[in-house]
Amino acid sequence: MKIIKLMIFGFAFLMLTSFVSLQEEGYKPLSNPDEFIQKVKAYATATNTIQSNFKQEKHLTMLEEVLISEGHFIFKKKNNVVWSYTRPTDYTIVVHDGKFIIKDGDKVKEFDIASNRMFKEINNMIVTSVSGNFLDNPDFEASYLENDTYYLARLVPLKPEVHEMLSEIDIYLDKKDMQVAKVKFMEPGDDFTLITFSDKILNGPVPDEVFNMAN
Amino acid sequence: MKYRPVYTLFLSVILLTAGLSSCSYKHYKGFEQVSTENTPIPVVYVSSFTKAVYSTNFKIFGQELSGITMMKKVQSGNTIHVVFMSQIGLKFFDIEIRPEDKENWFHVNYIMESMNREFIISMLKTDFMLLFGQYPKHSEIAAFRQTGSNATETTIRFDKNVASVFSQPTNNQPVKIELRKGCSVKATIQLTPGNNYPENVEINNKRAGLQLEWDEIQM
Repeated sequence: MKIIKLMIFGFAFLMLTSFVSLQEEGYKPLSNPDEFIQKVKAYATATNTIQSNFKQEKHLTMLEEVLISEGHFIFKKKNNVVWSYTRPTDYTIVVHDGKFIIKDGDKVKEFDIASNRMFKEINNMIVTSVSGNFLDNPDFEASYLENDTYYLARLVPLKPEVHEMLSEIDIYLDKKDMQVAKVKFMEPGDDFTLITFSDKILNGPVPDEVFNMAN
Repeated sequence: MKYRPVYTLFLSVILLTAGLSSCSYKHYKGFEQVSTENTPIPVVYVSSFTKAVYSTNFKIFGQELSGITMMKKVQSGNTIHVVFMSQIGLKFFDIEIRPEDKENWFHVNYIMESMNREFIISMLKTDFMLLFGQYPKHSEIAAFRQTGSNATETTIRFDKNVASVFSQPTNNQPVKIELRKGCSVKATIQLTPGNNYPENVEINNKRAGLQLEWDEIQM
């Protein structure tokens, strides 16, 4: 009986803490889902380029460590992305023309996205997260929440190879302009990566040359 | 002509013996054996080690992964976690070293599905055994010192393997570790010593061309 009581207490405690955690940020189901969907579609249609600084926090819960990286991010429709890390090391990831290019210091390596399942999935996640292209995406089960500041699109990967790496992707859209303010990649267990965008420029000129690592 | 089979057999035995003895590694030339009492096994990550962050390059079968490795001692359990992740933060592996649990000192908390192959895990276990000094209990240890320089070589023999740990004369910090089985070198680890732990580690594992390179970075 004692064990059963303890189990009931433990379960109640878990339920309470997860409820409190969601309530702390004040997220609740959307009051007007149709309006949200229309806004996201309009944003995705109108967004041709994004340029932004970013701060990345890698939370390793077991190790009680947060690794912080910083850099600059560029997106250009339809599928061109640059992640340029400046801290802690110079490291650039480019997705362009079906290729995944990594510049690590002076070394440049090129991978064919289609031939590498992992790169393909990573690319898919990046583009889905930052471009607002998550509506009706068959690779994710989506649920939508909101608080006073953000819309929260919570995506659960359906592909086993992605779900094995990430249990959930949380995309926070600023209610003022519908731009992606932060993205949280949750891993199985408690570890997660939080990327926060700042100093965003929407639809500014982005020449194709920025995706050419030879430059 | 009748003696030919006997002669052939005799020759084979001689060649085999010669071959075996030439593959039986003893120690480097120019090193004299010394007592192990005054020469403890040099340790790469000493007990006072707390944490290190390395820029990482991992190659296997021609495939290459790069990212960051976080190595940290968790004080509560006295274990060391080695977490290798991509720059974007996706984890490739999370391995826990439990020095006090001699039977299960190597524990895989997580490994990405595409890396979750027995031979990859086995190679990582071998490399981490050398790095963290987790040799089997029945290992035989001998120490050798280079005349003139005081550089030492410590040999650890177990299960037909010989691990050689070479350390610098000034502070006994390891600079190179080799693992041999017979004539062949199975794994080599080159180390650039830092204050308390290596600043640079290069692991070359002959099987499958596994290469793991760590360069310390300040976060």
